[in-house]
Amino acid sequence: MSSDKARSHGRAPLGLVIPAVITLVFLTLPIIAVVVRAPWTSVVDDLRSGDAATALRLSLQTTTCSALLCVVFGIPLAWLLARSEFNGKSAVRALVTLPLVLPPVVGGIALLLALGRNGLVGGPLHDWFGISLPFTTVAVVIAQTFVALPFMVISVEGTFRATDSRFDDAAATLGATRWQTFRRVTLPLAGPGVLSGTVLSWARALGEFGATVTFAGSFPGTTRTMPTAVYLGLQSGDPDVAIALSLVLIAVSIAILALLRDSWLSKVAP
Amino acid sequence: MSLVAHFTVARPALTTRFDLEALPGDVVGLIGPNGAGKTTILRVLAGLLPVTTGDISLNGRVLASAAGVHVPAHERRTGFVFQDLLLFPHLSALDNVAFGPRSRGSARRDARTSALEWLTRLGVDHLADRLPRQLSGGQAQRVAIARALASDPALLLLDEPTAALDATGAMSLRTQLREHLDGFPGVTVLVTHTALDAMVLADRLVVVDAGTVVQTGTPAEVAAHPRTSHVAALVGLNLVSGRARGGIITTGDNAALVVSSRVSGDVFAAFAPAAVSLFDSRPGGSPRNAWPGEVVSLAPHGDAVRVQIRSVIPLIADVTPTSIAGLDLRPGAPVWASVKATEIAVYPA
Repeated sequence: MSSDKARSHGRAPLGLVIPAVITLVFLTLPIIAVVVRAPWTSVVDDLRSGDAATALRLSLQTTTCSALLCVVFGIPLAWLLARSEFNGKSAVRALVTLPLVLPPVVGGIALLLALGRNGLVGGPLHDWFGISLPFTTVAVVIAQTFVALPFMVISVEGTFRATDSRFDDAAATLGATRWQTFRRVTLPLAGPGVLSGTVLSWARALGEFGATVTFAGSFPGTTRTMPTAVYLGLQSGDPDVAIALSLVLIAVSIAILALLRDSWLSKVAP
Repeated sequence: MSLVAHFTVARPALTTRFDLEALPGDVVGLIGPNGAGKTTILRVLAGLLPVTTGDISLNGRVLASAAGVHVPAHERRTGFVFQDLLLFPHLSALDNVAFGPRSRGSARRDARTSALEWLTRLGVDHLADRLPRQLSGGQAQRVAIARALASDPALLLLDEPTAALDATGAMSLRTQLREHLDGFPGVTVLVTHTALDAMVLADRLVVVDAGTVVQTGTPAEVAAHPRTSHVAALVGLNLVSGRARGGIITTGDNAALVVSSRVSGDVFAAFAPAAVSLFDSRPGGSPRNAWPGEVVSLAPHGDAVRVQIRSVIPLIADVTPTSIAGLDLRPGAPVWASVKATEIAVYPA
């Protein structure tokens, strides 16, 4: 159909084609550069090298935890936003969206001020229980969850909204409480949205750098995740490890795109 | 032991007032035009909407009252067959039917056993493993009915159960539904758009129009003496309302209708489409009720042709195909319509 339309309206004007091509090149060239400049012969060894392997493992562990936290804590808020009425709902939604647009470094500072040793909550936590969060692996998970949760909440809320709430009515007439309805109807029907929300928030957690480095620092083995290792590798004159890790992240991103193409992207651009 | 409902419910578009008292085993048909508030009434009975004023009690238990009682839907024991069924798309037919028993605390095994029993009773047990999207309209409708009945409701609500089916499918479902309703010990409230559903399924009809109950009675009574043009059209009658005096009814549009009845005061007059005769010019002789008009539409109706006519009294007439040709009837054609006084039933409004 689109080719029919193109034929009937004549060629696309150059005034649009040229900037479009420039955009395409601008967006793809950097990725191509990484692939071209990658030390292909040593890439496996680079990834196996101590620092890279440690960062890889740490990233995998922390992002899995973050994604799980997003599932456990993101879905209930998504449900409340989609299915219940309360005062200040739009304010709550705005607050949830804030970490999306907040510069991650600022997020890291904010986490320090809240959970740091002298922080709003972190102070008493340290004084009373001797717990100190900053610069630990837990801090990495917290920073990643902080930036990733909005993806979960927004994605799942959208799915809850899109599923017919009259299924909830049907469940209620069959004797199901709201909790039973949530567990046996709403959540299963939102399965695709939960999956894409999980993948999206996991991907966001994987790429997290600013908040992590600010709140958790960069200690090999405990808080140095892949993005931090990439940055430090480049700084310390070991670009091969940085590029190898970047390749992994690019591959993951492409895999996620492929995975979400059907469920999420098709909704955005049918 | 029964359903007693006297309530109003205010909605943005319409405030609906509803009064009904029904005994166990009663099947109450709710009829009326679109937007009359029928589905709203069902939703209030089910507990999906609160009452604005009034109260509802079922078997002596107050379900809702303006004083603030609102038993939530899941505690009401109502079975609801929704107009678009709302079978859970991710569950098999069996699990859809088992959902009610499961929610009310049955063990998974017991729930599935009783679900299979219900599917068998509705004749769709061979479809137990299918997902709703793999079912035909009639099959899905039966699964939805099984699902509503399996949760052992005290009150069964059916919203246009045959509307989505073709004529044959609707008839076979209707017959089957009649059997199940006969065996159902609770109260059934059934919303319908078709005269056949109302006649076959309901013991009693409640006619709703513009948010109020305008008539109640047995299907035969309502069909013989309709009080709204919607019901008259539903059962295929012409309906005129007006003031009768000395054997003449004068309508609001100042049309006069000569009748053989001596009733006076505000009345309804009803007559069958077959009682209306059509002519190409003013008829002479005995029929004294004759009005000039214009053909609006023609449609086959059994062996006859049903002609809709715009005149001082809106009319439907059933005539033979031969006379259609003879009179050269087509939409827009001028025509004279007449009806004999003896064919008109008159009853007080």
